[in-house]
Amino acid sequence: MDQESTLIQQLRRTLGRMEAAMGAIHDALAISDEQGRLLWCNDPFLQLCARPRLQCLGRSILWLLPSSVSGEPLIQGSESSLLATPSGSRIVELRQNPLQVVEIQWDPIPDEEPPAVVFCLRDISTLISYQELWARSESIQQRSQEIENLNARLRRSQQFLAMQVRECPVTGLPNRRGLMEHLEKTLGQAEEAPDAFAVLFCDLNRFKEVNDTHGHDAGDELLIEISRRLREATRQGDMVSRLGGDEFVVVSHHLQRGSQAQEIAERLQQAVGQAWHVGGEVLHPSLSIGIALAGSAGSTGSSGALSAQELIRRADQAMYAAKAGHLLSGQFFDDSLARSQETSTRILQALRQAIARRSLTLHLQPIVELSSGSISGHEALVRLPGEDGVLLSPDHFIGHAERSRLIGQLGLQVLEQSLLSRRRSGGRELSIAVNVSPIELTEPGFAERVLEACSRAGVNPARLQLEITETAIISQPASTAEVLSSLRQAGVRIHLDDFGTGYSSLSLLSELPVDGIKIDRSFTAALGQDRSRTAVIQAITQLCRELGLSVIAEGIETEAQHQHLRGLSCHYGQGYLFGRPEPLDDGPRDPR
Amino acid sequence: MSGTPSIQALQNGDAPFVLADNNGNVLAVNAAFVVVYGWKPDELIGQPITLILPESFRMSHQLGFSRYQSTERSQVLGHPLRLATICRDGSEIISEHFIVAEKGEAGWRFGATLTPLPADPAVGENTG
Repeated sequence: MDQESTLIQQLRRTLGRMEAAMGAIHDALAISDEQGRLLWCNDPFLQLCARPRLQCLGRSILWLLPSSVSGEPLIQGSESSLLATPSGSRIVELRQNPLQVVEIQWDPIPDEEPPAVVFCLRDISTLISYQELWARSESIQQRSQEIENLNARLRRSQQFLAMQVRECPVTGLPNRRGLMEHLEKTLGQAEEAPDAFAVLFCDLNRFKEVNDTHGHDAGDELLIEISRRLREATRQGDMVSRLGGDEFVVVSHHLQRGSQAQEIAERLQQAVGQAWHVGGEVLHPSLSIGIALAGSAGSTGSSGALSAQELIRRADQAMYAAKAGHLLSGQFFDDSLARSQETSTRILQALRQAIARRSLTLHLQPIVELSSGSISGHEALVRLPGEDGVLLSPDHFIGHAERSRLIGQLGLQVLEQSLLSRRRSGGRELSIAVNVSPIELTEPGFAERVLEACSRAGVNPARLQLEITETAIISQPASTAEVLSSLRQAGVRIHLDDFGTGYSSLSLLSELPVDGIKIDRSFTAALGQDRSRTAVIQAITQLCRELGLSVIAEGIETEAQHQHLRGLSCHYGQGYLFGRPEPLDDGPRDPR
Repeated sequence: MSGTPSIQALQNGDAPFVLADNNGNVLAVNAAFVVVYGWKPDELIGQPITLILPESFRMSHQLGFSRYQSTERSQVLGHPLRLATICRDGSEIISEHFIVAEKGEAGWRFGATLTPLPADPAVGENTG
């Protein structure tokens, strides 16, 4: 190898190292000719252009480089003007998310012939990210504030507009605002010219069924018709308004005596109750009416000046009493209702507190296998800590819990405590029976919640018995059957509680989705005393045996009852003979 | 590189062929090369191989060629490449270049077949 060749080899290796070194630089480097055609570039430049090398060489560098996020070329100008400009640089945002910003710099190579230009593109995203983020954050906050201001203005406008609306859009009657203004005006005038008047709170019974069965259009038609009938049934000067939903309020003026309000209520009821045709059916609508008297019509409840709000509240409360009593005549608000309201308020407060503090107390009453006398499980009975530490039994508060929709939370806590009690049963596979409200059964996800509670407590669902009433099954048979079916499939047993006290029919037993029945204590008490009731128990136990249903007799208090039921092959029993309900913390006791 | 034909095999084939030494000078061309690209052997032998490459490819070629001498790693050897080839009359023919390298006592030698391809405006031409 001659010297020249050796020199060339050395130069090539040097060039090769330089080229490899430039390839290892993170910045994108490129060299173009005077017309901007790419002569050389390193790998980061190819990555930026997203093309292989052979597709880049010879092409215009202005064409190869990506555009900025706003669509502008990274280098402004044309090929012909590229070298006409001196060195330059600019910062360009390539992408917003994640942020990618490059600083591009170009410099003609001095004295190069033919002329060439060196390009360097550096990713400076991390250098400006913080600043950019800060700027964006401020921009977002500013925008958020603008939107909030806009929303506040909109809300004020909506409130202002809502305050202008005094009429129900469906019926054309005055709405709550219209009613309040009317009452306040009436009360204001009463100071100068006393007027005896009545507020009649009217709730349209079973309106939901019309909506559910015939649709909301039919529901609206009914509301319009009821409005018309109420207007026609009232005197000139009286006011009919619609509060919303199925609630109407009539204000009747210039009463001679309090009982006149009752006559008006009956007239309203009669007018509303006329036949109404929908979807081929004939309905006879009815109202539940609560009455609050004001002015010189007579003192109803606490005396003293009443506000419009208080009058409506009293009439509303009386309406609930009318509804609960299935009264077709009006129910006056009086002191007993006020006291009942106070009691209800106290119980609800105690209930909410107990649920929030998880301080509901559980008592367990043993259920015994009658043939052997051994405990097979317990029934869980919840107690509510009331004032002065008195424990209230379910009769006192379950109704309130159901009406206030606290029953779901209450039921879940009882279930959880009951299941936990099984973990403490010392390895014995004792069952636990828990009462379930019909309302709980209709709440979405009930079955899932029960099974999740079993899973959390580590208790086999087969040890759980849910006691339901006939009402729960009969009121919504299809949906209830579906819930019960999914629970039974998971192993939970369903028992029909208080059998014999409701609509129970022996022929229905074979169709109900249950695993057993509990014979009401009134039948047990009659054993051997009342021949017909004894015969009923005999028939029930025999039928259940044939249907494969278990039978539990409640209220067993004497050994004679025990032996009688054993004789009838009744499987299980509970009652004071075997044990009273005892607090969970005391632990279940063996009755014998 | 297993499966890569030898320079000898390329040289004995029918495709236009060119052979260069480790300095990048042409050592030989075959008759098919002369017919297709118009270069006579004495016009190329001893001259830089870059004569048959477009101007804009020459710098990258020289640097890549040098880098191979330094690192003995290449991204262009042993697989077909679509490149423009400069003819004797100055025209360009898009060709498939297949280049192999062999190291002998006298250093590296590079042999390549250059098969003309239908013109593809996306390759080897400046569409910018």
